[in-house]
Amino acid sequence: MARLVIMGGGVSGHTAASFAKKWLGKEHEVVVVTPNSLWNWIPSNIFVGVGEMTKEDVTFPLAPVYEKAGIDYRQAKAVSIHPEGNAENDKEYITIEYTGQGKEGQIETLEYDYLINATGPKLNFDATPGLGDGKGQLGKHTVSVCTADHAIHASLELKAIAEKMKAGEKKRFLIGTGHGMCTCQGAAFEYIFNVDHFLKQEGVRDKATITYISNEYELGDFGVGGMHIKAGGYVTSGKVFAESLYVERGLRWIKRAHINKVEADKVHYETLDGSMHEEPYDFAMLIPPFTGVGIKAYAKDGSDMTDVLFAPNGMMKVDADYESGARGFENWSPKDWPSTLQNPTYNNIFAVGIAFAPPHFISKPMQSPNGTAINPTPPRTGMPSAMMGKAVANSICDMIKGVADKPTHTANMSEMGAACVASTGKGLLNGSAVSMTMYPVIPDYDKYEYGRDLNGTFGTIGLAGHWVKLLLHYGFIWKAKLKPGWTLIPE
Amino acid sequence: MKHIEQYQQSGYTPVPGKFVLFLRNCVVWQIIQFAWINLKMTILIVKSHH
Repeated sequence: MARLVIMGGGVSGHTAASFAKKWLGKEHEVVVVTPNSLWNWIPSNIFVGVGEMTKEDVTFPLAPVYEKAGIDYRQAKAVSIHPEGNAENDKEYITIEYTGQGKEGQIETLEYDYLINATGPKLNFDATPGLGDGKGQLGKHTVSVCTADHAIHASLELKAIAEKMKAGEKKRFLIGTGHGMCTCQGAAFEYIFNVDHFLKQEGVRDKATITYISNEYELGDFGVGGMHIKAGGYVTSGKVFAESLYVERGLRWIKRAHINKVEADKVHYETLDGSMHEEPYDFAMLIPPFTGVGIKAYAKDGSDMTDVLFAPNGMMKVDADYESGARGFENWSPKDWPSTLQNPTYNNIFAVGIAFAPPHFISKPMQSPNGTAINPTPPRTGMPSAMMGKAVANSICDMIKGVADKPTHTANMSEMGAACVASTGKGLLNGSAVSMTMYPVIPDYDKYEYGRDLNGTFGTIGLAGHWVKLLLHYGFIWKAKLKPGWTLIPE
Repeated sequence: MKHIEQYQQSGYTPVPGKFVLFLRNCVVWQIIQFAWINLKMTILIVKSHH
């Protein structure tokens, strides 16, 4: 009997665990280690953040789902990896610290034959003074929609400010990225449209100034270097598409910005030209930058070998070309990106989703004259991360069953697409959405004139996208609950 | 809401006309769009699995 241990139960980890258990059956063990008791469909946190959904709408308890599936669930956080065992035992293991199941604070070791790192990110609020509380959590000045609980807090703050606006007060809203090295602009993009919609519904939109602030070079960059789409007989930049959405809604924007300090009523930021500015606000939702969750790695003799398994940002090294970053933007290639997601040192360790270390940015690296890096980091969430989870589970199952001694499936972001639907409103007939797809995620200028396949890269706006978003919400939660037919719903 | 502000961000950006706005909420057209988006996404998913 082989044991597959998966650290993390988010989109990629849960996908990997579900498929691995289905394919391995009772002959082998699948263990999920995650500090959370609830699974969260994170894209719908946006709707919680404006009060259109509840926490219960976007989460469900993991324990009964895993019990039914035969997956060993440990509500714990992974602390360290020992890929060579220790002085007494050669067997690979991880140490975990329980956060629930009545064992809070207890430390255990867990041996593995195969290990998947799917921990997702640490929300690094403290990277920007004032954005965090100094203890690694969200600070008191701004709100977030990164977790369901954060989104509930955001919704309450939003409702409170709307009440003041109903009494005649004018308010300033600031939504975007809270640091020059953030990813996940899509969340801020969707949230700003939902705040605009919420304020219209409340009848106070005319009393609001809503500003988007971003580390993107241009709107529509999204950390993937932007994209081109066919529209109105033209091949046009996603910048035009994105700006049109903002103008249509009366939103203003600040781009190429690194927020370096957050205060109670204003942010301080630097732009790519090196100039310093301030932006006042009454309500701010700012996305934090991401880092790895801080798992350590130790060699057999107990020495620290974290730098062997992890990149300096705490993300796990996989089969990417990590030398490619130094070759410069003009020389970057889709081949730099990982395919099997297997660690190059230990072939029974894999990393998926945000947990893997990208070889470099996708967007062009930028620095202000003061040396401040201001550019989005690569997104690895949602659809690509689920695909990685499934591909890695497939490879490991083949390796466990003896079908192959190396990974049989790949999930290279230069060969996979991504979809993003930013929706507002509730109900079937009063919503609207921006639907975008791109193929591939990593642009390939040797293969495609505009870096991507224009037939697979498109953007459209309307009610239909809103229906798609509802379908995705209910479909993915059905799939994650492993209800009948879950394998038929694609990643 | 006034969209065009000369020499401001909004003054240099295309905005949808009445017909486009009508189509965005026309249920018949949006049903077609719904099928189209799903088809596009399905092709994308099929091409992405390796």
